[in-house]
This record gives sequence, C-alpha cells and structure tokens, in this order.
Amino acid sequence: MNDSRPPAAETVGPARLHPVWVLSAFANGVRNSIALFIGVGLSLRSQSGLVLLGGIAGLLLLILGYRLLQWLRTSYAAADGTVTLQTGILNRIERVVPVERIQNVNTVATPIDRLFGTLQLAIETAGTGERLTLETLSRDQAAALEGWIERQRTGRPEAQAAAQAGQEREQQPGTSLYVMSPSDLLAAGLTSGRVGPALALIAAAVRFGTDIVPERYWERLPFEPDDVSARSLVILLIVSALLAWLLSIASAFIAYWQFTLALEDDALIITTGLLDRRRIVIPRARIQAISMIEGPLRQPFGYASVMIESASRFAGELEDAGSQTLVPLMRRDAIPDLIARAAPGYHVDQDLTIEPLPRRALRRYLVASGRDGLLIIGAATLFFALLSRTPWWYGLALLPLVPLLMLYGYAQFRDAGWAIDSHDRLVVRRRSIDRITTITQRQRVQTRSLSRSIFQRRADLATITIKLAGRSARGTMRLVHLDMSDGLRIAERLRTLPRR
Amino acid sequence: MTTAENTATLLAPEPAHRLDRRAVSIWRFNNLLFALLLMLFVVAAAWLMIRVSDWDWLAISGGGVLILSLLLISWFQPEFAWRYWRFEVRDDEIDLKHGWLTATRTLVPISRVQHIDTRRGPVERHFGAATLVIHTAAGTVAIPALPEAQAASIATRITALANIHDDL
Repeated sequence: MNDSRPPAAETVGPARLHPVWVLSAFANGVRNSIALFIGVGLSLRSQSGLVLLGGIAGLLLLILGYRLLQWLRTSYAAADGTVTLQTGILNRIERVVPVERIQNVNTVATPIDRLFGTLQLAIETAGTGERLTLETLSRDQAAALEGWIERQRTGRPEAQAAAQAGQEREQQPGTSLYVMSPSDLLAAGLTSGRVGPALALIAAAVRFGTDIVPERYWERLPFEPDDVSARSLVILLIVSALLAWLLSIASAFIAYWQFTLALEDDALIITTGLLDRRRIVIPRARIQAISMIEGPLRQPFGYASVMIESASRFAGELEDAGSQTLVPLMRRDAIPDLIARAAPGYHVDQDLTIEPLPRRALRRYLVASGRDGLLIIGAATLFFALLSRTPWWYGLALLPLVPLLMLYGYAQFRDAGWAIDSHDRLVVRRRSIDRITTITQRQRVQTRSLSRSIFQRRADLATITIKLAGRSARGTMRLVHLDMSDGLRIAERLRTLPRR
Repeated sequence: MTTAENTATLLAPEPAHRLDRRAVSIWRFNNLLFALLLMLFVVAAAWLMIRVSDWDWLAISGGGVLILSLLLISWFQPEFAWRYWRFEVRDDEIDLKHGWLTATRTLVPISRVQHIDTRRGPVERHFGAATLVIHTAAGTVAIPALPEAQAASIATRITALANIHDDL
C-alpha cells in the first residue's frame, strides 16, 4: 500500500444529493405504487369525482412528502479516506466505503438526469461486491467526488496536479478505439441473440393479456384459445418469434445507442445507451479475460462481439455480473487489432493455431447429445402417455430432434480447442449456442482442475476447468474431452511462478 | 506424449496425504441422516401406491430395494470417497484429488488464497474434526474432516505462505 496520501484536510461534503433526486424518486414511487392508485380508484369509484381526485392527489402528496423527507435526510461525504452515504428518515443507515476498496466509478444518466444535466455515480468495490450508488448528483458534484477518489487512490503529486485540472481532463475524450456506426447498430440488432429476455417479456405479456382482457375479446380471435390446434400453435409460435426478434432489435438499440469505446489513462471507458446513458470505467489492470463471441447469425458473415471479464461483480451489464460488452459488433478479422490497442496484454501471437480435440472425443460428443435427445423424447412420450386425451406416440414427433442435437454435438466437438502462446496466454474455444473464444493470461488463473470420469479414463481423455476471478459464466473456461496429456500440459504451463 | 508415464513428470506428483479416518464416520453419519429422510419419502410413496392401486407387491418390493440400496450406498460410499481422497499443501500450491467414478484434481496456487475458514458442524465437532474452506477470488475449495489441531496448523501455514494480512 502506498502511504503517501495527500493532506487529510481535503474533504468533500457532507452534502445533499441534487434536488432533482426528489423528482426522479417521486416518479419512481408513483410507478411502483400503480397498484395502490388502482386500488384507491376502485374503492372510491362510487364517490363523486371530487373525492376521487382528492384521494389521488392525497396519495401523490404523500409520496412527494416522503421523498422530500428522504432527500433531506440523505447526505454523502468524502473524508478521512472513506466515502460515506447516510440515508434513512428514522432508521439512520450509514454506509462507509474505504477508498482502497473502490474499484471503479461508473456513471449512469437516466432520461430525467439528462433533462436536468445530473448524473448517478455508482461506486463499485472489490471483493465484497458492495456497491454504493449516489443517485442524482450535479456534474460539478460528481466531478468533485470523482476527483477526490482519484487523488486519494493514487496519492501521487502529479496525479493531484492532473486532478486539479480535472475540468480540462473531463473534456479530453482520450484515445477513441471504437465508435459504433448506425449501420453496425442495425446489424447488431438484427443479429443479436437477445431473444431470451424478449421471449420472457412476451410470455409475461401473454399472461397479463389472458388475465386482464375480458373473455369476449378472446372470442373474436381467429382461433379458439381452448382448442390448441396445430395451426393456431404454429401461428402463435411464428408471431411470438417475430415479436421476439423485433424486441431484440429494440433492446439492442436501447443498449448500444451511440456506443463508444475509448482509452483514457489506463482505463477503458465505454459510453452507451439510448434511455439511460451509461459511462463505464474498466481499469485495464482489472481485466481478467477477453472473449470473442460469434453468434449463429453472425458467424457466417464473419462478425462477432467482444466481451470483457473484469473482477468486479457489478461492473457489468445486468445479464451477467462482471461481464461487459467491449464491442457489440465487429468484423472478426479486425478484433485482434482492437485487442492489441485496448488490452495489449491479451493480444496473442499472430501465428497461434487452435489445437483441436482428439478424434476419439467425437464419439463421446455424439453419444452425449444423442442421449440428451432420447431423454427428451422419453420424457415427452411419458408426458403424452399420462395425458389420457392424447395418444402416447405424439412424443415420437420429436424424433428429428435427435439428429439435430447430434449435429449440435458435432459442432461442439469441431469448435472446441485450446492454445497457449509464447507469453503463456491461454486461448480456449468452445461452443454453447455461440462460438466463444476466450483469452486469458497465466497471471489471471485462480484455480485449475482436471477431472476424469471412468469413461474418460478408458479413452485417456479429461475435462479441464480453469477458473478466473469473479462469478461470471465466461470466467470459467472449461474444455470437455481433451487429451489427458494436453490437460496436464495446460495445467503445468499455467502454474503461477514463485514470487520473489 | 500419450502415456501416463511420460506425462507424470509434467505435473507435480499426486498429493501425498490421505484424509483422517474420521472422515468416513462423519460422512457415514451425514449420509444416513439424509437417507433416513429419503426413506420417509419412499415409505410414503409405497403406502400411497398400496392404497390407490392393486400393485401391492410392486410397492413393497420396489420400496424395499430402494431402501436397501440407500442404506448400502450410505454405508459404503464414504469408504470409497475416503480411499480416493488425497491432499497436499506445498509451498506454492494446494493440491487436491478426489472422486471415485469421476476423479478430479484441483490445483490452487497459494498466492491466490484470499482467506481461510475453519468450519465445524455439530457432527464434525463430535468427532473433533474441522473442514478447511479455502477462498479464492474464483470460489472455494475445501479439505474436509481434518483433526482440529491439523486444521489449525494448515490454516496458519497457508496464511503465512500467502502472506494474508489478518484484518480481523
């Protein structure tokens, strides 16, 4: 630890959040208590309009008053090497984050924030995974706090001088590494695999629809909801797939609007977002791995996205803590160059070739995927057999699933592979739905295990699992059915060198 | 390089130490407790089957086989698990190997250890044993059923090697 801190006298605050906080918190409060409003509306339905209006106005005032009190009782301060946030009207809650624990400071600007020129500061901490969010600060407040944290952390005179000229530095965008063009954004939306969340949304909408929409409207639909005929099922499937696709395009636009990646001091800065404008700071030293992800809709055209794994559990997007999109869409052959500029430590040797799995592993991949298919069919057959109204052999309609799954098994075998370059950088490639190629450094490896089932032992195969810091799925690199001697070789090459 | 003899030199030799014999008793006790719970379900299911169907013989024989195999597995599994468990704490790495049907070897560099917990459940306490839970940034690994003194000395050794600052 560096003990040459700046004079302890320097402090920020205590100060309140920007008054706009009351407005956005009020809006949130109203949105969260929609059910309450409906309840009040329904219970006062029979009363005169004035009473109804009064009831709703009273409720609004209550929420406003509560938020106002909250705002009055919320303050933050930075002093003595800690950032403190005090909240709570009656129960006072004080959260203290020591500066050494702060990993990075991200900013988010919601639409309301952008209207008023305010910001949210999310202070991410290491290890414990705690996050301190200061909702709604003015730009000056945010800059002052960020500058303070920066000075406390570095503690170097030159850093202090640089921070004093903080305003100028704010304007300096650093080196731009990537700016997403509108055509890239459209292509990313069209090919993004973000169907999962979209489907969930549709399912929720359908459930909401069946709960809310009165019976008589359903009767006017082109098909009878009770009689789930093959035709109506197919129509429903096609419509939901189309909707999911449209939603996935929309969600890509919302997530990646005006996406830019820049390098500033030793940190990667990402700004992105249509509604919530986010600014994400990833110190290069915290990078654990870089992954190139080729979705099935992108791989044929030679496009991929790039994800970064960082040790913070919260630095990432919602979907996967610790993971962050570095580039939403890029030509595959341009990616090595990007990595060389963004994170040179992860730029592998040019002539590196991926070592495939041994031929004898193929049979195991095919058997495993075929077995999965048969299990699904078995379960479906049992399901239809138990359902007295349907004949049991309906389950056999799923039979084409078996060759399809085996094809998938073959793809998994063909795409799996590994390589280690001259600087002990490990590359592991495998396929889930996307083909994922992950690069990490020996210094980043936390634990490594080799495991062998009795079947693998017979064929001299093994499964290697390399774990990196953090909890994200891509932070675990696993290769199934690689040659045992290759597994031992990888485990040996990734040995941590003794410290001096 | 395909045979085990050629590659044996690559990785350090397999971990040297076995677990304490008490591990078998502890696991056996836990297994039997869990098996007892499952047996309740089996008995309930068999009783239900006898009540609602004519297949009494199937319910009784099926339930019997299930209960017997539960007992046998609970009794003998710890013996196998113990036989295939090895561990060693070297100066640079913690080396674990366990598993009978699927053998897993795990290597944790000492420099990656963040902190160590010593966990003692009621059963372990009864046998005077403790489980060492070793935390890294990527999760945990555990060495079970160590005699308390040994658990403490291993924890101290790893802490010293890893140069962990004792914050608490």
